Amino acid sequence: MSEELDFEATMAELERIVVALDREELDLDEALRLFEDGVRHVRRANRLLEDVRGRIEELIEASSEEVRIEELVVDESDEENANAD
Amino acid sequence: MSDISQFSLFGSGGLAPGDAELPGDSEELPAEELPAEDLAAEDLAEGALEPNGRGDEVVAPGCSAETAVPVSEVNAAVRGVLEASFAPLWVVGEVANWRRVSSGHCYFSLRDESAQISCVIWRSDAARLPTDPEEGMEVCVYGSLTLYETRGQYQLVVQKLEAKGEGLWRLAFERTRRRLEAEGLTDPARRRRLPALPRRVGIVTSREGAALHDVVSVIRRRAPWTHILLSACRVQGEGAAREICVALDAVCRHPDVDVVVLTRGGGSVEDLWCFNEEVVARAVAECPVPIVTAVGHEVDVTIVDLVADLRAPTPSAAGELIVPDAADLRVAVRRGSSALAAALRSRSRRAEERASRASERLSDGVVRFVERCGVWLDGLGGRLETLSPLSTLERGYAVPLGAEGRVLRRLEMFEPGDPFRLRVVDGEVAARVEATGGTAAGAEEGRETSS
Repeated sequence: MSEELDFEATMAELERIVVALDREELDLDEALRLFEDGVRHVRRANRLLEDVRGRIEELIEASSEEVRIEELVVDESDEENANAD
Repeated sequence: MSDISQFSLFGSGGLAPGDAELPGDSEELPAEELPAEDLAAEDLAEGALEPNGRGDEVVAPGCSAETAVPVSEVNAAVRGVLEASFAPLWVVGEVANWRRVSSGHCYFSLRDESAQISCVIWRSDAARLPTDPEEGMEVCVYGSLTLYETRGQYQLVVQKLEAKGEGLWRLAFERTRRRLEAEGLTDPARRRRLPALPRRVGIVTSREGAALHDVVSVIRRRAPWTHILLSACRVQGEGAAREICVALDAVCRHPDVDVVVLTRGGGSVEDLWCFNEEVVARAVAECPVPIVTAVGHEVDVTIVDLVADLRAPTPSAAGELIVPDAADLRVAVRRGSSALAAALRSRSRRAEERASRASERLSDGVVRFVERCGVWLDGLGGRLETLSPLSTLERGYAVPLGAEGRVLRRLEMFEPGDPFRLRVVDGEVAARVEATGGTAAGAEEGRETSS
């Protein structure tokens, strides 16, 4: 679940690393370590875009108190004629 | 029942020709019972009674003081005539003296330059009006003519009221807009930014509509990782407004819903009307998460659009506004990755430059050090020179050296007859002790050794 979308956080971290690398104060060891971190973030960001597929669900009100969620099947075809209304 | 027979009595001959076959038995029945002689009945319903055509013995009620008809019967009869003579019809005129009473019924007059009709709209029909018309507004009403017997006033019972064009809808829209505006709910400064990358999108719409399909397929195409949660409700007709509020509330309370889209496909002004209702607008304004509205087609602007964080022209457009395109994100990742590589390259280039600068500095330092050492050594050499015994020897002193090169410093170190060497400035002299004691030679040697 922690894999689950922290694309934004991942990209933010990547950006932070790039900015840090651009600064002079880092020593070389530190810079290399950051770079490796950065590479890991790039891989992760790509994986998030490729692999994860979201759920489509419907909120069902079982009673006024209890709320249930059910999977919902929606035709996802994206043809123009399907959009005609 | 007696009302009806009375009505039939008066109405029997008075109906328009087309209505001739009104209850046949009622034509005969009262004719038997009642005397038909007073032609004054014709005043009640013009040409209504034709006692002569019926038979000589028939006497019309109200023909004489003896057969006078009670007021309520007259009104009931007139009402019957009115209702039977006119099919429901559309009437055009201007609204005057509109009153909505606490029971929910509405009363008003419809008039033109020279005449007016009293009108009433019963509560159930009045509830369907988007708003009350303004004084003097030109409207078309559809309804039935009747007589309000209590007052003997004829009136139009209105079922539908429409202003010219979309006048009444427009008016209702403006009224609601002004109210919301006065509360600051339409202030653009209230609009929140949508999350760049929502984890879960809440959709409030009908389960069957095209809008759901449109939004879902666009989200799936652009950002397939996005979770979608539908909170279904009806999106038109009576009660839809309330359902929308409930559905909206439910989906907002669900955790992880980062953004909500309230949508429905195109339709008539009436179909879309629930999105103009104040209660829905307030629910949208109070929505705890950012909300996008996409109601109808591009040209349809509804009240909810004014209070939402963002208005999308169509359901598909809403999908595009809510989630980013994966292709763009991939570009962003690629860009980030090159920036990372570039940053490292520039970092290592800087390190290289620094190292070479350092080594340059280092070699300079060594040269300077060596030079400094030379200078120092030179100075040191000079001082060493002055301390050297050689310079003393130069001045004519000599050093007696015993066996193993020991310097013979004292008288007792000399034994008469012993050989020894005498170190002078340019070499050594072999020598032998003649005698020791307080001789000048001995003293001299002693002085030499001590110096």
